[in-house]
Amino acid sequence: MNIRGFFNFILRRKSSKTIARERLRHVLIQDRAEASPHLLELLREELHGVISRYMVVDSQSSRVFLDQGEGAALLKATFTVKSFKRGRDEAS
Amino acid sequence: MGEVLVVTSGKGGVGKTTTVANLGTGLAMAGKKVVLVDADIGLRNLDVVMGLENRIVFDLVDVVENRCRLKQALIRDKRLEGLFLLPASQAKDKSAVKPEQMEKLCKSLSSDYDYILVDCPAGIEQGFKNAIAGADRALIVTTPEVSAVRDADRIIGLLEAAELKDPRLIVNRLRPDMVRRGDMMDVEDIREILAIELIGVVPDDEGIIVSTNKGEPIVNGGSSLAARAFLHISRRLMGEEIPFLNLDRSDGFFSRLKKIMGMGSRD
Ligand SMILES: Nc1ncnc2c1ncn2[C@@H]1O[C@H](COP(=O)(O)OP(=O)(O)OP(=O)(O)O)[C@@H](O)[C@H]1O
Ligand SMILES: [Mg+2]
Repeated sequence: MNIRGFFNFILRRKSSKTIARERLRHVLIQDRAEASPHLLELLREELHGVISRYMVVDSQSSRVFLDQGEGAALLKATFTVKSFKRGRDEAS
Repeated sequence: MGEVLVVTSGKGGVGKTTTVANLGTGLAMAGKKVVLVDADIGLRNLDVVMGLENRIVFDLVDVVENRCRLKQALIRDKRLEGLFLLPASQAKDKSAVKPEQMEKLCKSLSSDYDYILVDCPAGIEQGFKNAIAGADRALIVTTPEVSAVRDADRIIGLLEAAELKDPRLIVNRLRPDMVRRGDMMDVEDIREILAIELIGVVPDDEGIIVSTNKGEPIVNGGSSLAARAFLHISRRLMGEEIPFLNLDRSDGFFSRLKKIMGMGSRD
């Protein structure tokens, strides 16, 4: 860190290096997801399997996708719940 | 059997041709038999970077179309015994060659040479597919910029899909002063984001332009950091273990402080 880096640090200002790194990380998440859509499809199938242990969900309408969050990519999944399995009441 | 190395990047103008010329020269200086293949058909460049543009009679397309024998198209370097260039055709375009033809060409070269360095065109289309067709290993050149690293990531994915495992990364045109100011990504950031192994870092150096003007690769007698960086990469290609150069010549207050505290950055 040099003098300028030090002031950036004190003022909590981002250097262009940090901005570049964050933008790159972000764009690569989108790029990689776009380049191999089968990975998200695979994830959707696996999630369906896991969720089905707890509730009955509709597999036709389910979606797993990446969305833009504030400064970060968000993984979003939606499953339509048809019914919730009956669990045993927890003893209190 | 020689090894076929393709030098590729995705993005144009990041230093593929410069890298091929210097690594080939470095390997030949170490006594290896080397042939440089210019696969950038239609945009021939490697010949001028090597200073061999006046000696071209036949080219790569002549060879694959059997208009001449392979030996007739190879141009011997001005200085180094074991160094040859197979120039690209300037008149044709990238569709003039098929991947199977490149593969066959690389195979026949690898029986006579220790290293075959293929200079890949920019982009991910036919020219890229041709250039990687006969390769055993890939070197990926990038610069410390978002667009170049992004394209490198795409190339890594495509190489994986083509079963070319374990590519090595070269970060070219690094400006240590800008990294220090916080205005350029450092090598560790790039390496971590791309998640591939680094084989070398070459600083941005005016000497590269001067040497390109003269048609003499900078490793040919230069003691600059860029020359040493390329020489080190060529030795790493031969399997030697050489520590990375410290490109940062500054000894400012903070870098001294960091050294004292053992926080010095590796580049
Ligand atoms: N380390 C460096 N320092 C300074 N200039 C450099 C460096 N590396 C390359 N250059 C310059 O950058 C320009 C592009 O380099 P080069 O032709 O090797 O790139 P390339 O990736 O082969 O381009 P293309 O995609 O068009 O084939 C050239 O003018 C070259 O001299
Ligand atoms: Mg080039």
